Amino acid sequence: MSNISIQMAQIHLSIIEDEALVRESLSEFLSAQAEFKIHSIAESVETFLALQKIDAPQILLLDINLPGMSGLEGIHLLQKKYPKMEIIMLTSYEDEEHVFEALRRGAVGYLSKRSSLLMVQEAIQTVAQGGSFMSPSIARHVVNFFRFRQRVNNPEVALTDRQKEILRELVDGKSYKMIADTCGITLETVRDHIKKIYKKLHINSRGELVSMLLDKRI
Amino acid sequence: MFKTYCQLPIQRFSLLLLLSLRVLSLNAQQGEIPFRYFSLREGLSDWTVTALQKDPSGLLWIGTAHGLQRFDGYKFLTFNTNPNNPYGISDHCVQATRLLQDSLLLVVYLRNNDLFDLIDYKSFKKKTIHLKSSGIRSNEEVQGIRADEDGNVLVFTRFQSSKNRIIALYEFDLATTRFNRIAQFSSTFTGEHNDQLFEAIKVGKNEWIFGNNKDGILSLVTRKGVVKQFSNRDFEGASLPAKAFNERISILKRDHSGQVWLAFARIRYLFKYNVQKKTFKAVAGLPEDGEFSLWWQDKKGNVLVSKTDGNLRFPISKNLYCIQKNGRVEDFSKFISVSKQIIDVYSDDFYGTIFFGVDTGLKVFKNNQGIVQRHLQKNIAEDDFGRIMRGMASDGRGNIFFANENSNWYRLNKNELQKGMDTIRIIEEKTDTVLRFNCCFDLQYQEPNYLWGIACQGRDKGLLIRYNLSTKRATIYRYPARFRAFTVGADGQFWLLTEYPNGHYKLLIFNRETGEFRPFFTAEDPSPLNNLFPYYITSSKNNTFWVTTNKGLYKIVSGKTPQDNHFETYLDRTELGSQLIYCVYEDQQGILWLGSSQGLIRFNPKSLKAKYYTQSEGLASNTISGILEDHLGNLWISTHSGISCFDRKEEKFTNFYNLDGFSHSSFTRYSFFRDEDNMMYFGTINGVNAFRPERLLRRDTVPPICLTRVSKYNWVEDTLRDFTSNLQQVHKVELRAYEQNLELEFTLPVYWNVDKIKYRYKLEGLDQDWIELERLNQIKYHQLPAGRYRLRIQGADPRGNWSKSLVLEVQVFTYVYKYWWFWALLALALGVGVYYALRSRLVHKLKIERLRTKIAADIHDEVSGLLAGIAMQAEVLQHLGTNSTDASKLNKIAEIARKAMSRLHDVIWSIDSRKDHIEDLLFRMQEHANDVLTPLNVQYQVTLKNLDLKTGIPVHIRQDLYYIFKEAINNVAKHAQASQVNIRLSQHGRFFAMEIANDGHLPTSPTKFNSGNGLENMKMRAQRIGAEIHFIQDEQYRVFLRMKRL
Repeated sequence: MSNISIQMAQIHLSIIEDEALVRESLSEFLSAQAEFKIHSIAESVETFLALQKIDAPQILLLDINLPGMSGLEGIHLLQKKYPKMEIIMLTSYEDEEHVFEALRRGAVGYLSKRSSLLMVQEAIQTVAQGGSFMSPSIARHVVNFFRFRQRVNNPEVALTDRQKEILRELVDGKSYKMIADTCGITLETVRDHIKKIYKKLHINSRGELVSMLLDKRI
Repeated sequence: MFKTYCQLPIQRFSLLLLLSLRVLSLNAQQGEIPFRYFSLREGLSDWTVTALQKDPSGLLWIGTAHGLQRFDGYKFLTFNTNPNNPYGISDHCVQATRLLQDSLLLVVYLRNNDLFDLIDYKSFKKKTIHLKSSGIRSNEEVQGIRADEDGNVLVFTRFQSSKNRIIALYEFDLATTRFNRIAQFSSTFTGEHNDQLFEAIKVGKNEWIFGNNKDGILSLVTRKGVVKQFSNRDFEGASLPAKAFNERISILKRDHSGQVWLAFARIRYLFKYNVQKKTFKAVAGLPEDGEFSLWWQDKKGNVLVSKTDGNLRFPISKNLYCIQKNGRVEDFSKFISVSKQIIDVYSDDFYGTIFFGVDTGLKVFKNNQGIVQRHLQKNIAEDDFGRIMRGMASDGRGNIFFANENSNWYRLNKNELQKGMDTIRIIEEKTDTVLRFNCCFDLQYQEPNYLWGIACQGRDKGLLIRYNLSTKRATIYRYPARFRAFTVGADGQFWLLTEYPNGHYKLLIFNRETGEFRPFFTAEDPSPLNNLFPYYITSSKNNTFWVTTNKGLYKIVSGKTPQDNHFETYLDRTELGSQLIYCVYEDQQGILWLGSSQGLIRFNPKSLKAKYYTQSEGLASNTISGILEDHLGNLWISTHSGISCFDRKEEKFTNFYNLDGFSHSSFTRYSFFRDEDNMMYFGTINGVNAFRPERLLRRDTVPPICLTRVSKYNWVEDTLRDFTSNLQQVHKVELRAYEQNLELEFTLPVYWNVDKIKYRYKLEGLDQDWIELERLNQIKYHQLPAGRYRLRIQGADPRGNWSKSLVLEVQVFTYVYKYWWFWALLALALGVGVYYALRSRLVHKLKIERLRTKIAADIHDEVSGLLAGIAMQAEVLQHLGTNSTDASKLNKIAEIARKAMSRLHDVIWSIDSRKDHIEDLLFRMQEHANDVLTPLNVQYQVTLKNLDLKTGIPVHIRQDLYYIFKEAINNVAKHAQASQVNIRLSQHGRFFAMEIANDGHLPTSPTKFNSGNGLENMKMRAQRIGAEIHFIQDEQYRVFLRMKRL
């Protein structure tokens, strides 16, 4: 596997994390993986944006609770500077407000810091291949969003059966590949569905979402 | 409209008062002039009235031997020396009262030369002037206190100074309330106790006349001393005997125009002083045979003097003369018939109301001097009849004829009024005997020189009398029924209303030429009047007649033949109905004026419209005797109680009664007549009255109405507060919440006929119209609703002229809680209070919640990153290291770190105020179940029942429920080896229940299972939130918790 990875183009990674221990651990672990190349590491969004790097990283692991600008606030600026850069949130916040807000702002993955490094690795790989990634606890939020709160009457935001199935699998902690196998669809289709689920989440602004929630239209 | 308050215009007491006044008052029984008499029984404090004075508000002040009284026409307010009386004066026997500067009543006392009082007539405040401490020297003996009509107060004293006897004259200065000595004279007095030795009057700014009969001196003095001593040469128009100066000065007065009047006792003249010439001149026109000792003046400039007899302190009046401003003297001696002992007189106009203070009380006259001529009046008791007068007629040559109902006829020659009435005895020509008759109701004069009259003898004999005024003999036409009324038709025939002994009635026509009676009938009715009681018949145009009956008005048309006769009734056609009508008058416009028992009716026979005028509209009485138009166009309505003059244009009545000079107030039917000189004649049950309407209608000014008492009842203190002083200035009355009753008394100060004064009032803000009080001078209000009102009170004088309104602003307060706005404000205040309390609580709660959230966020931010770092570092070492033993330990470290993170999350979640809803709890539970059970491939299912996910849940309950749940799930994961977990959350009734059931086995070692703190923890937590918890093992292992509803 590692050989294949070596042959593959390395994934350029950046990390914005204020906690030195986490930063160093991630850096140490990920740089040890052949498929990853640490592009840059910063303690804050501001520091990262100030870096004089011409080439853009592919993937950014972004914390939320940062000194100065928060990770959520920084998404827009970061994407502006590096439009092609995909952002995976790696944070200790697991509540749905943070999750949805991050996804709404354009993050393609959301990982809890309780996730293992291997899961981080998988998430980076998934995203690098054009998919999205949700850790199981995040997937649960999505399930809840759609099912647990019984929002069924709005077809625009309602999930299809397939999407629900994929979500269930995700919640159960299965990898994308496992899901593809279980559902009998290709890995690309799983990714596409997850993207659509994401899209349904941030199809509207957060304010509208809140109002939709409040007046129970969804 | 239902009113919640009471207006009590008629009170028993007031009714009694009115009745008593009515009984005690009125008619002169001994004299011809009617007057009102007030004495002890009416409330006068003494028989003898010694002084009279009106104050500017029109109320009368009466001095008696037992105090001073203010009289408003109804009640006496007594000022005396009783220390318990709030109205006090300094002595009891009032000698004189004068009004100073239109505000202070000067009260001088008989046999008390030490002091006098000055009383404010509004506030009743008294200031006593002690002469010896006001400038009169202590060694001087005060001989007399004199006050003139202009308020100049003079005092003369006597004293001895180095063997000289001295008389000193002082003048009172009201501004400083001190006496200034004007002059002093030597005298020969020897110590006589007689205040009639000296007299003084102010005649000019610095000139006084001083009379000293002890020394026979009359002198003019200034501050420098005597400037002139008068001798009999200074008296013009009379030869004054020299002894005159030794006589008591009976009159030394100054009138309002500054003229000084002088008379000596036992000297026959009255003199007027000429200030310029400093001489006296005898007043012309007075009888020369009398001495004058009493003198009064009115406000019009007329002077009234009394010719008296003898040098007495209270002389007997023999004659009274009114000396008019222009010098004309008129004999007022008729008033002597009321009382010879006149002590004081007050009048604004001697030709208006005159008050006589006499030895037996107060007598009030309305002086209609010569306006109403009374004839054939007898002196009768109030409950008696005099000469009951009926028909009247005139021969057009100055002779007026009157019929007495029961005896004679009379002739009055207007050219020989002083001769009085001739009595006409009816001597029947045929028998040459005097005719006796009764029920003689009416007279008609017919040329040549015949006086016709109807009368009767008993019930069945009617007499039509033709009296020849030349031969003085009468021809009698007899008929077997009584005649009630008759009139002359256009053809000269008499139409007679006839009453048969069987109670039937007929209309007869008498042919004067043939002397025959024939009945009137129509083609439809042989006896049209049969069942009607007819009262009056009068002829109209075109051979028609109007007949009034006890059942309405009828029209009779006399045709050429009986078949053309008509008899028309108005019974069912008009508003008149079957009204009892006594008389009818047809005016030039063809309007009929009907005198009924229910007032005057204006009836239009064409439109058939009727309008009533009653006592409410001002008519003297509703029972009408006669209607007569005067040459001015007024209708005179004589009634059973007074006579009214009706101005048709203004629709206004002016009323007159016996007190206006009429012989009686009860006027009789068929007894009204206007002669060729427009003199009006009206008969009463006691004589005949003649007057010229223009003279009688001379209008009196109506005085303003005057408040006399305001009374408020304080129900809290149960006290009644009376206010009688300073009411002239009262324009506003305020009633506090604790004052429930308001009583007001007032008067229209017209004293001569109080019984006929009427009052009305209107409380603007409550009453739409005037409310008539009739004769009651009192208004009572009980529990007036709170608010502002304007009370208007008006009084009408006996003539019916209304006064201007007395206007009082009335403001009624109530307790603040009785206002709607109080409750509105209170509710608002409470609302605001509750709002702020809740808001403050909310703010406090929010503050705590923010703090909780902040603590949660801070712990999370600060600690979880580190724990994540530890976990990751361990993982890095695990993955990148080489030592497998270490790797397993490092994995453990990573797990511990993640567990720590997880627990930290739990703690943070439990205190995060943003997670205070059931759905948050549920989500968290689900998350935990997922985290723990899914890796073990244990299926779990959550079932909710009756749960509102948005319901808030207190933080400690949320925390404990979650930990119990977590413990239960952990136990399943650790010990149960279950494949399925069913989680049920429900609310039912008053309870919330949570059940975690699994299909796993019992733990192999219960002891081991129980060894942890798991179950105990759960119990402890359940207990803490008031829940019961059961651990049940049947087909499943269940943890069941029940607590009160969330």
